[in-house]
Amino acid sequence: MNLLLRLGRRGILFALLSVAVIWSAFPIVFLIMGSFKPGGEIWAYPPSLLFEPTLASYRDLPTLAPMYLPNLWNSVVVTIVTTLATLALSVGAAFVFSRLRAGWLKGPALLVILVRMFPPIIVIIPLYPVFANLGLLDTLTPLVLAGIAFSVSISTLLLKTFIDDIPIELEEAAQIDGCGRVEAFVRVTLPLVTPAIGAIGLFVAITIWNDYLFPLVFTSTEARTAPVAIAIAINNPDGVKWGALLAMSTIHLAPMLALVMLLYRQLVTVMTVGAVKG
Amino acid sequence: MSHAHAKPAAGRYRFDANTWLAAALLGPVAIVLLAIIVVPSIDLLFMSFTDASPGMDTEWVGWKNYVRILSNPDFQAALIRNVIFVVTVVGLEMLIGLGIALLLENPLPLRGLWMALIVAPYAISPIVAVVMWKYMLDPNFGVVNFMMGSAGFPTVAWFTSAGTSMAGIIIIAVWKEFSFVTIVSFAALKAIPNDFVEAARIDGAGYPQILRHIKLPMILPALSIVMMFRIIYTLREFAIVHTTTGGGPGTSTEILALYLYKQAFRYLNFGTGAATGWLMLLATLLLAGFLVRRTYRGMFTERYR
Repeated sequence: MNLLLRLGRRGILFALLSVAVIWSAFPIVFLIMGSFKPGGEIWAYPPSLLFEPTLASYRDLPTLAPMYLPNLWNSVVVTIVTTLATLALSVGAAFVFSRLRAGWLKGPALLVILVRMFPPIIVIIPLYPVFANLGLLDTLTPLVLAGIAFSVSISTLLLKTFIDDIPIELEEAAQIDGCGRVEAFVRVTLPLVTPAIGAIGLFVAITIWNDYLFPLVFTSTEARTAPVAIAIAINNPDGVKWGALLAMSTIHLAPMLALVMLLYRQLVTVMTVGAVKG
Repeated sequence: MSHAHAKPAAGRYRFDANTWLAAALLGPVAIVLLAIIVVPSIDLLFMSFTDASPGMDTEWVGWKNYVRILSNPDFQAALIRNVIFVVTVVGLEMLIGLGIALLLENPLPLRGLWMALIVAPYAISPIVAVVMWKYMLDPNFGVVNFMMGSAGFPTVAWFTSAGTSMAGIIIIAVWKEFSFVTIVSFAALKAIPNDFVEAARIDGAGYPQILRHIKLPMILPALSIVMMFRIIYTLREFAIVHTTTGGGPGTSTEILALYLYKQAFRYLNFGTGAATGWLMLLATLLLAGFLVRRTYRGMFTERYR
């Protein structure tokens, strides 16, 4: 009897869990499947789950969306440059906030904490004329600058909490052995927070790779990124070319999805720290 | 004697090596934040009191933009819609997110895999999320309509009907972000000492009582923080609405960020766009005040130097 009750509870638990996983993962799986469906199957009704997979949608992509690969390359460049620059700036700032103490640091600390909350949409109006006057519209520069500005705060605050967890005594021991203050940090603490830096980098990279607002406003053709290209394709006034659209979307989601699947544990830690401590 | 001498005079600042180090490391961060966020925000405040428009002479108009948008029925409708959107999306995210966290909390085989699949939507761009949901919700060949039809429900023209387009957008927005609530709730649940739950169980408490009197009260602080974050971030929603409906059909899904974008970049009314932006910023800062204070207090608690 007790066993039956327990089995019943297990059954309900796994049934509910399956519903949860279908809710979160089925849309992704269905989109990826759609990109491998042959022409007619894509909009077959009833929708097909079993089909002969084909690469036709991917093969047609260069003809149907000739600019997509250059757009995707822009996304790659902006994401890598922005993430690396953000991490470089954050390591220095987080070191200061975690290891140095001075009354005047309260000002910069408040600045970092406060601007983290600002909605990115409010800066597009004042920045648009500035970037236009500097001749930077439709280049990758505004995307990188705006990306760094809206990532560096959270990245610094996250990294600071990880550095706080490393005892400063380790650095002090190295200083007694003759290291300078910065050298002690770089040699002793930095290697210990490298996994955290990687996870924060993934966190930043996801934001930049998926960003829509800044490329929508600050680029037109040359510097267009993949999300804007996909948004244009789904609103094609001549009718949506679903095969190409599903292939474009699958290509765009694949790298971040793979990274998140591999590093979800680290990412979860960063997201939790961001909410609970940051 | 010499010790007392070495002590810096109270109230006077010492420019030592650490000061220069801190300034050199914080300088670039401060420059980026000031140039891209702070100065433009102040510029936006000025603009909101002018009739600024690209390529035109700018004149000071006082509070006119604020009066104009606050008395404009389109703005009022966008504001009300935005409030409904935030309440519904965040409410559903909290319910679904917490519910799934309570499921994951049980001893499970392959929990890592389950968790990774739950977190997956977080990796997806809002634009790609729109593609997948438009694909699934299509009135002609969508899998959701097929399933609803099989269950005897009528076909819904989700995004082309003013009555259901907001519901469709809410589904996409909840799907994209609920896992953040799951992750934080899960961590908070895991942090509850097992003794508490065991003691209650020995006293004869069932799962509902343990949930209501022990677990929920103990994770309430974490839940309220997540909720504040979700409210602040949902308030500025733009990408999903802009790509799904562009605010339509009609203005049925036009929320504040869309209203701002249209004012500024379709009608080139930078003044009213700026006023909308400043109202959004004020709302954000009011809501974020508690979070900002909390992080600021926690910033310099450790006493090393």
